[in-house]
Amino acid sequence: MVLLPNRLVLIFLLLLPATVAAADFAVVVNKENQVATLDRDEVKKIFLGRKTFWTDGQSIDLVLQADGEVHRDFVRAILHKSPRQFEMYWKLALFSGTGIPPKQQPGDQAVKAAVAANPKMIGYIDIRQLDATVKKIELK
Amino acid sequence: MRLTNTIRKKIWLCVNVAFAGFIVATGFALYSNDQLKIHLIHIRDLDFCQAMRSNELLNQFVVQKNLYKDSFLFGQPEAADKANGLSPKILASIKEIIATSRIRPNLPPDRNEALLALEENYRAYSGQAMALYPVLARGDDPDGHVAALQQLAGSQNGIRNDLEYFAGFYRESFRRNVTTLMDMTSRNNRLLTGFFIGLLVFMSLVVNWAAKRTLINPLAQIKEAVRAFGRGQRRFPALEVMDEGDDIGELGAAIITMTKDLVNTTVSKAYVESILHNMNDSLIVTSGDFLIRNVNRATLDLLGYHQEELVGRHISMVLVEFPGTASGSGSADALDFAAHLCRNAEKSFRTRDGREIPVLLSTSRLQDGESATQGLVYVAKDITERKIAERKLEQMALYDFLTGLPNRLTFHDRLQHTLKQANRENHQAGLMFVDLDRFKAINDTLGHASGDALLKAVAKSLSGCVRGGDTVARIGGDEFAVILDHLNQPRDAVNTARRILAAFTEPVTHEGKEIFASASIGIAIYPLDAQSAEDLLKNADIAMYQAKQDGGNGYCLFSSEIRTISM
Repeated sequence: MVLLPNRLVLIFLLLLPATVAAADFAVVVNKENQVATLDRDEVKKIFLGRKTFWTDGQSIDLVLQADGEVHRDFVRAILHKSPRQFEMYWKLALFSGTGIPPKQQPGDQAVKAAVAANPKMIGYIDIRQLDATVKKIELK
Repeated sequence: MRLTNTIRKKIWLCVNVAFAGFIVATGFALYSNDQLKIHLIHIRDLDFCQAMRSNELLNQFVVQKNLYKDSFLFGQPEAADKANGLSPKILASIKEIIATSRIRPNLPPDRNEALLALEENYRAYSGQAMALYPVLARGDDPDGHVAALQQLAGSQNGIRNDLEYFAGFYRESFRRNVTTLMDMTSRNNRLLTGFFIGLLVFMSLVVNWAAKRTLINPLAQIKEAVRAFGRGQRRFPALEVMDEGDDIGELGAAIITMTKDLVNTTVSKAYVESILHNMNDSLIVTSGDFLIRNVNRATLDLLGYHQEELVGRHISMVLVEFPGTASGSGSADALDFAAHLCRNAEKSFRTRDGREIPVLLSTSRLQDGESATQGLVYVAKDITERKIAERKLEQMALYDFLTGLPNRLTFHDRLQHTLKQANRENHQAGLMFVDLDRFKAINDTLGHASGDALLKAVAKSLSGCVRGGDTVARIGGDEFAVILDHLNQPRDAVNTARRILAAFTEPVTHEGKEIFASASIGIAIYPLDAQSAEDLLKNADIAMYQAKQDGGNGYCLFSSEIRTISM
């Protein structure tokens, strides 16, 4: 029974970078939004366009960041996709008429502004750029 | 019904009924096969083509859509161009389907409208797609065309749904029609089987009915009539009502005619038997080998046999002088029959108790109908009575009716015979004349009856006094003659005369009265006293006369002296 500890160690090592990367971004909503916490899975569904309504019945507006470190980390950590795959996903949705790709904002500031301006909006920013204009969602 | 007046027509009627059944059955089979063929052609030309084309169309559309998708996702303008190139083909396919669909009359009209709408939709979609996707593929920002893309995607999905629907519909339609056809085939099989069996039963019944009505029943009636004729019936109402224009009716009429002719021209067995039975003559019919086949009642009465005792036995059992082998070995041929044929021949039949009955027999060859059956017919008349009468006549001619002794005629015959024999054998013969003395007186006094009784007694005693070969004859009223054959010497004749005279000493009793008689006897010896019968007679007479002259009751031997005296 030497095999079992080796395998546990291997799994631990694989999980380690993901948890580290997750610390680099924050999922943010408008301050008026009542939601405080979301499952990672729920976040994934929201950004893949499969969950489109908040619990109070308001529709969910998405905002993406232009390709950058935060965007890449978010896509990898939450959606388990490459940014290219994520882009193709939305393009295919656009082609086949199942959804309209979300707006992209060039950087954290633009995202914060958009989220602050729209109570139904959800986005993600570099955690170091987090301030009081938006509300951070705790990920479970 | 002139249709069936000959047997040929009757049979042809049955055959034609069966043939008509066959034609109808064949027609039904051909019709149902033809219906199947029409359906199969429809399926081949319409349903199968539509199914294939609609499926092809769907594939083409999907290929085009995928090409557009590739061009959009990966920015490949050549894929978009290629997709654009597919549009006219797809349109042409849709048009073909529409054209084929219009041929089919049993399709609901809204299906054609839906196809036309599809064509319109695709035309619109294709126009937009051809304009938009190449532009996007060449790098134009899609954000500016989100609304157009949304619209395109919508109509794309709509068209695809429609195409899938049509492909499914035509595929299903093809499958359904084939299934229907299969059901139809098996239903046809059942129907045809049922129809054929029904037709067969019906035709069998019709043919049976027709055959029974036109052939079997009339023939059965005729058969019954012929049987009844055999039993003795002579009228056949069943045949009389038959249609004479009909072959079988003609047969019936012919049978009626035949029976009438037969009644008129033939005699019945009973008739013949009655005649034979009442015949007085015996009738015996034998087979070719002389075994008795038939006898009539007269035969049985005559011979004392029962019928069963005679039938099967050989004819020689009753026929006394049966010519040829009495055992009847083998059957006689025609030549042998000649010996048995006779006409009114006198033969004898042997009775059961062994007597022989004289018969007048005629035989003839038996003609038994047209067949050359060999046999003989014996017809015999019982002639016993005639034989007795004949014998009586003979007796009367040759013998004396009172005494039964030979008469003068017979006497002369015997005398001649005796003399010839004596001459031949060289010995002597004697002749005695015996004359009763005073017979006239006896007759007159005692009556003729007494005279006759006397004569009978004398005849009897004379017969008792001579030897067996000698002849006693009555040659006159009271004159008797005795021929003595084989005399050794004249003395023997004298002895006989003495014996006779001695016999006369006994009286003859008649009705209680005793009659005494005596006789005078003259004797002549051949060849001593005479050389001829006449002389011998004359000389015996002379001697007898001499004996009478001597006083009667004595004898006299002839001598030349007596002759001289009498002269």
